[in-house]
Amino acid sequence: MSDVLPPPLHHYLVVGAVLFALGLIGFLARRNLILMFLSAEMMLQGVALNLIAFARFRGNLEGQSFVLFILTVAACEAAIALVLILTLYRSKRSLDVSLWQELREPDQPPTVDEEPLPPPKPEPPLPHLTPAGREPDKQPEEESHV
Amino acid sequence: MSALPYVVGGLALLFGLVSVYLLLPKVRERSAFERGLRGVLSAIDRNRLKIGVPAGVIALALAGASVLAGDVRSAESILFYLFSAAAIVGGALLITQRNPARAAVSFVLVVLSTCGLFLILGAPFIAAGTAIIYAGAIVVTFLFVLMLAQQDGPSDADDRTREPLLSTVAGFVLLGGILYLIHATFGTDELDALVEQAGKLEARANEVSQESEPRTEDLVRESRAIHAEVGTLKDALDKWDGAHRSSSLPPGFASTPEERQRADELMKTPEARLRKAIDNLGTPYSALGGRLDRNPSGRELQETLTKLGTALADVRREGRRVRPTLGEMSPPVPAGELSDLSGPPATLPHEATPPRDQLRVDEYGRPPLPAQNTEYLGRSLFGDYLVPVGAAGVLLLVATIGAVAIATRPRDEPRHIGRAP
Repeated sequence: MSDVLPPPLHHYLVVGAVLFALGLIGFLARRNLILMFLSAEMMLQGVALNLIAFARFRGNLEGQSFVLFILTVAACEAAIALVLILTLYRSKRSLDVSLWQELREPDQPPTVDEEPLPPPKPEPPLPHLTPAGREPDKQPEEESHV
Repeated sequence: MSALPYVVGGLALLFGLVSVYLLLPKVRERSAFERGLRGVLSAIDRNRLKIGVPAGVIALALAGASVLAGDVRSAESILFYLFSAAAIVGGALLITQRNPARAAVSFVLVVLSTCGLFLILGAPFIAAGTAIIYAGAIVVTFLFVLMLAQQDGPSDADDRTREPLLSTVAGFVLLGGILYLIHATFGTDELDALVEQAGKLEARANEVSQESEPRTEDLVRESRAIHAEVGTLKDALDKWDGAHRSSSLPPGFASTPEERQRADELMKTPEARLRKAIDNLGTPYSALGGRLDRNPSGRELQETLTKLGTALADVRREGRRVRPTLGEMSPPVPAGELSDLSGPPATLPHEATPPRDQLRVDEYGRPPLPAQNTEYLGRSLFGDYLVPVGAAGVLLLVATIGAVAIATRPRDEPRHIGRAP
């Protein structure tokens, strides 16, 4: 075969679809709020790839303008989402989304982990030194600004 | 219609599903489904990584094999496959990593790979913008929040997955549906079969015409057979061509049949070249038929067969090149509906927007994008999309104010660390 063809349009659409589906699985499956959000951003990347491919194959820059708007909206969404994640973190001190069971629908049973985590590995035996000097005076309660 | 692409694609999806399901982090949880298959699954459970990673590699290899078909030698193809593989592997790593900081780094890999794909697709400004905004600003902000929130490293939340089987099946069913739709829209099975048949006939004609000491009776018999098969092939090609006449031209261009014909003559689109190659097949075909009727010599038959072989080679080449331009999804847009601000051809001065019937396409049927990408993007944004740009600015402002408002906590409620409240 002496002729070499560039990748046609639907190859790019397939890659966009795969990124979208992987982002969907990540959003549904992971429990860390930040990972859920990163998966949503990956879905947006798949959509952006689709739009740029269509712009290329139609000889028109409207697809690229659309992607610029998607980028803008994604940046706004990232800012607001991170602030909300921080607020949620302040209440429960954890990024786990399944701690917020009280936000579920009233007729749904709560999601319960069936098996506990394995016990943490014992710490390696580090040498203990006898403390020298004396302990500093108790400071007033420290404030956390997180 | 061969079922081979469906089988290979289905196997790739299945291996991908198994690989992602096995690689999602789990803590020896067993659903009822798994309890039923306890024997096999406990063995698989113990070796999740050893089975999941090779299954993922096999999925990628199958997907690549169903796509490659030998057309990999241009720089664009090689870069496309490299960047796509990196993006898909990065995506799989993102959703299956236990450590969220590493997942953020995999997301950077995904973003940089899609930036590479944007570069191949003629969008350098968007590539730079995505790298700066996503991989630069958003991921760094995520990493800072992660750093503040998980100072002890990965927590309980990262070791478990919510509904791994259902979510993986849902994602891959969606992917299977989208891929089937893409294949149904852009698939060229009929044309591929015809092109392959043309290739085989060309090989036979060349072989017969280059025999050094042929016997005339054998030659006549072979020629008759080839003639008959080329006849059926020509009818099938004419029928296919009649059914697929419209969709390869750029939008807003040549919507009436006369314009289309003039466009064929002017622009040499791949479909036009295929049509001409099919028409050119008629001459050696009828010449061969005429010679066979008149009791020819071996030498004459071999000459005609050589010409027939060349015409079949043309048909095969143009048939392969027309494949990327086929697809039922370009709607017929009447001329003038798409804005001129967003789509002038390259290498022309800014002021001159040529009339639509002089728009060029390259030899693969793709209209050119302007070389001055940033300038035309600016023209498009501030010409066509001025109101959306303003709305996006307002959105950014509101998002900033909202973020500050949500994050501010009242001064008299500090959290205590180091002591129970």
